[in-house]
Amino acid sequence: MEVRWDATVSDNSFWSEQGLAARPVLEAPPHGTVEVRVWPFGILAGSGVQRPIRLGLSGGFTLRDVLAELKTRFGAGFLEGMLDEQGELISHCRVFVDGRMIESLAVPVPSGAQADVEIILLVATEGG
Amino acid sequence: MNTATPEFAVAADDAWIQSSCSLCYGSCSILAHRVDGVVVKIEGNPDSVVGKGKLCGKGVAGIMTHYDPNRLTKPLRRTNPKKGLGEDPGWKEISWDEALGEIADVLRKVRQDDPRKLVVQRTTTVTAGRTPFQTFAAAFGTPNFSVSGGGQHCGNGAHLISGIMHASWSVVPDFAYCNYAIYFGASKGHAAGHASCSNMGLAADARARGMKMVVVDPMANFAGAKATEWVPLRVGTDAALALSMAHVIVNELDMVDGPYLQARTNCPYLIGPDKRYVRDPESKKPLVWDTVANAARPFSEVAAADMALEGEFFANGFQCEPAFAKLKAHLLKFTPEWAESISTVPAKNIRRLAKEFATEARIGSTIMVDGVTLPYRPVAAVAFRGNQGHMNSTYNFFAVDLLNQLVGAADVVGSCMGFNPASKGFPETGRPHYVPTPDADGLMVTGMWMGYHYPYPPSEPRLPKNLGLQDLFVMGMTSPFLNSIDQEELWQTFEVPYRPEVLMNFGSNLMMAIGNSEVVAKSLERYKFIFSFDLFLTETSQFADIVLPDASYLQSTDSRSNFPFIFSLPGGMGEWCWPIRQEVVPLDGEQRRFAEVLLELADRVGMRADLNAAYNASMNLQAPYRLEGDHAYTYPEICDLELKGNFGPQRGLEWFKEHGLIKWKKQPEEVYWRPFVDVRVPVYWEFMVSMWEKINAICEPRGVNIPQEYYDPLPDFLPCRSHQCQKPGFDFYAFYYRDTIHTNSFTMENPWLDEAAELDPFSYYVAIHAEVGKKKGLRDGQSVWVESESGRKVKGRIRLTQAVHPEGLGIAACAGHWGKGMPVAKGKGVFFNELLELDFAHVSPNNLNLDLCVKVRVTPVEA
Repeated sequence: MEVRWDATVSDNSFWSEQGLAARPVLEAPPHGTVEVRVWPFGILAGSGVQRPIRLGLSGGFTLRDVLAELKTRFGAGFLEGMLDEQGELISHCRVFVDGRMIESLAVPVPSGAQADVEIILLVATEGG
Repeated sequence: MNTATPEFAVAADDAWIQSSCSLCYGSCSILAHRVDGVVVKIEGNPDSVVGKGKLCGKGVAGIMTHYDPNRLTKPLRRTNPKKGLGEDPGWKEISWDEALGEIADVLRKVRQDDPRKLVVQRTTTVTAGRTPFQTFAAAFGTPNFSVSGGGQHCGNGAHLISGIMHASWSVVPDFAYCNYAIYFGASKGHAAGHASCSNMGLAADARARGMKMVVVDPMANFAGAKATEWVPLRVGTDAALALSMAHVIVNELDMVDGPYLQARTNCPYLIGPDKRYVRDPESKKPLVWDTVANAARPFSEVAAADMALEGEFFANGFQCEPAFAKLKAHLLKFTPEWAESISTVPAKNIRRLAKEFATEARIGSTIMVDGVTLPYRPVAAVAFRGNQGHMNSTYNFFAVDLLNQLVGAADVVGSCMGFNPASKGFPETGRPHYVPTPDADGLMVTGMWMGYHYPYPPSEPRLPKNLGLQDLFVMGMTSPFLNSIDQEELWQTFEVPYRPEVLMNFGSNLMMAIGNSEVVAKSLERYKFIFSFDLFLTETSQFADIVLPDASYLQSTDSRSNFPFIFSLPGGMGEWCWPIRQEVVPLDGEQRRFAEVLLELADRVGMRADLNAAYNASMNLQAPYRLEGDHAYTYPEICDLELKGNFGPQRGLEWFKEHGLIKWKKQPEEVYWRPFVDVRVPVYWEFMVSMWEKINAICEPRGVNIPQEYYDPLPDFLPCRSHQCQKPGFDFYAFYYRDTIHTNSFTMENPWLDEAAELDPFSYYVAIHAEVGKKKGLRDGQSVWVESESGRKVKGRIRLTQAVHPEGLGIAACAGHWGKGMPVAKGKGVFFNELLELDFAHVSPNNLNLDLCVKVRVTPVEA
């Protein structure tokens, strides 16, 4: 009996979010001002900025808002190499918020009086 | 010389230590037998999945590399400022403090000036170097990272396309279930390389079970010798043969897996007259033709079974066709008769092979594995270095994988599969967790990669800022332009705003590993400062200012000797396995471990916080196992944190030293992940259209011609320069192959392996077809010159054999050392790479892979 390639699987939940091991969940941001300390590392630290960069952001805000604030302060060149043409993080740019790796700029920056955002560009190429 | 030390020798010492080999990048698990402080034997570790208790000759012989009296034991500084081929550096022994002080001064200055002026280069052989050197480069701030010749020769086609199509670094047959494997210029399971010892056992079992193995290769050696059928072909014509087989399958036999193509490829996507997807005006998603609604709709809104694969439609104001219809029409020109004229493989054989492959695929069949019903496609077309080491690198590999895609033999039971593209992680922690995901067009993005820029989606081409120009030629991985003769011209043309000044080299002998020595030497001479971590003084370390004596793998710790799993953990069902590498014997003399030296250098340069952050990112260290601030961690402490983060607080480095490894069961949904993950792979590479336009927009105004045919969405046969050579007397296609006895140029110094190679009929010889050789009056064992069109030549001894294509000339390995620092290796074998030109004209304008075949003539030395 011939079976369609895509008809062999009836239960498709194995890789669903429910099937994943617990992943860090960032809490919703509070209202009020949060001091965001941005720590650029590697080539991003060579922009002549003092580490950490301290930003005061208020209301519910996301990592995208943090980067927008950095762009306002230091110009678009500061973000060069971090974002693709669609304005999303490139795959070799790694961002940690309070020690947790973040894959999307839509992630809210967590609650608390202070938040730490670490950014580094890893080596893009590899061979062999 | 490395000797037993009192520390290990005072008590009765008789221990078997679990660790990992490092004689090649396979990194098989080993047991090292230490008696009174001396390693007396190395065997495979039967408890490990990696090697499964087997160890190849190189691994067993590792003991001789470790105890080689020619190992470096003290830092050396050059006293002769003049660098060049044949220049004596005038080495002078210096202290580590002096060496690191000078290096740190140089690094501090260049980092302050422009960190991109540092080039970090590492050998592919020692996988333990990958994370520490990548991490150091990221922390320092340079994008200029290279993996030397190993990367340049084997990877830009094979690895990139394995990533795009199978979410993994390489592909293999699913040996446990595959019934019919066809290899194109690959030896997976029959020689060295990724998961080599494991794969050798799996392949042997598969052949014993009855798997038919067809080997397409100009030479019948490691895979061909064990094949059911050897198909000799003209060097570099793999795409012609594979595309012709695809034509037969599609247009003559009509034996494709339609449901697979509908559900898991972009074959249904509608293609407009501009070769691009026709997209939904609102969502921008590619459209397919819904045969039920009789309308064009976004792919995500149509059941796969309702998607048209053929027909002409009108959508968004365009006449359009599904990508599969485009492919079908495209393949018509690749008739077996045409392919015979290109590849020399008889047309009737091409038809037979195609029919066998499509028939054995058992399209529509299923099988139950561990209680899970899965698609069953027990055929695999695999390729590797030999296939893609050509101008036509991308299409040579793509064309072979197309065979798998046509019959649905992709990452399902028995099929062509990547090495472990999806992992749900260790059950107690869920780490490491990765799985491919779809992009906005529904196409597959890998869940794990060796570098940190994924193979798909490609970057946007831009005016390059990397010395290798990979940010312009975005299909390129390792670049030849760090060493090519025209590098300065290219950098000027593309306005690269800086030049390399410092080279940090880890074990790579790029003087031998890339191309002809004259050109590579010139590229090294231009550096203001080179420092090199080495076991021996190589032909490359002769250009260094400072050489640092490295520890051997038997003296080192590495928490991730087989991670990422996509690199060298065996695929297929079985177990996940995370082994470590640990010290078996102490350091000797003033040798130091490179990973520790890099940490000290970071401190001396004042970049420890950057390095800690880079380790957090590259190892994905999460709290509470992150590196904090600028704390001066040791490398074992970093390893300990990574292991605890992945396997729980009770399983740190000490636990792993005792147990050697940890294993857990693979699940069918991980191994055969494709049916469970809603991603498609691109059979039609639409992204190449805009990629060429963007690259050409940068190149054309600068007078650089980028042939558009290298960027067509569908694969083609594009000839190498050697195919176009008309020079009289140049009638052999010279190529090299990886000798199973040796690893690149590194193991030539190992006396046991040298002895084995001396006894081998081919290792140190030039293989020519017996009948052809006799017609030319050549004798077995005769010394000859092998000369390229441009006059580069190497000397070697002839081996007449029937196991090579009549037009082929095969040379083993990366031999022919000339330096004094590796006396066992000196003068052995033939230095094939000396024949290779190293310039833009000999590089794929698509993926930057070097063209590794050369048209040559052969003349007796005595003449």
